[in-house]
Amino acid sequence: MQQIDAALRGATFTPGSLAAHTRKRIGDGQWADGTSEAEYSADVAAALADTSAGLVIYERRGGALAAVLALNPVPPNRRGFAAQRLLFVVYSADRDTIVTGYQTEGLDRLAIPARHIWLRPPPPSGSASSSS
Amino acid sequence: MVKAATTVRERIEQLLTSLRADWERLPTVEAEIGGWDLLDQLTFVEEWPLVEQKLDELARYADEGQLTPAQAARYRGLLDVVERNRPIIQRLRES
Repeated sequence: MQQIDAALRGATFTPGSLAAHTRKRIGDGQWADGTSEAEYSADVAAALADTSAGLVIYERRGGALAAVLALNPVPPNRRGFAAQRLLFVVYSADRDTIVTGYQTEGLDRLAIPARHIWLRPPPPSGSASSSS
Repeated sequence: MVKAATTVRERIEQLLTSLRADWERLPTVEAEIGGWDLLDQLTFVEEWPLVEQKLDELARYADEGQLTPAQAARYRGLLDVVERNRPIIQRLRES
């Protein structure tokens, strides 16, 4: 198998945290029961790779963060009973890791600090999901 | 693997329990979060909107009259805790 340079591999969760994130999101009802860590990770990666997704940078608790807000790419068969319209993924530049990835109904449901910059605008409110 | 709630009654019970714990622990979190690893601090604050989403979900069930009298009493108690501790999460988000 061809090795992929770490710098080109894209953002990932810290070792050991992926299982906890997957478990929490299933418990929240956002992903369907039975979703694997690989499937959850792939859904988060799909949001990060979405070139139409909103991209915002800000600082929180002294840490530099970048976040993506994408139309929910989770396939219908992997969506839980509390699935939402959008997928929000936060990346820590300081730690080079994904902080979290979860579904949300809209930008107004998030708590992005007042001081932030949208490098790419967020999806318009009320847009239909790309996979539903 | 966590099993998703399958009925509204189970979901309401789950929400009442988890939300009470989430909101009641805020004073302790505020006192201790400065000593946490940065990634844990960020995860806590960035994931707080999920707690708010669950609170909204529970409010919808309450508005629809789906809570039993006992659940309604627990819900009122939860709202008292939310009101008391909301300034804490606002401070954590802004810091």
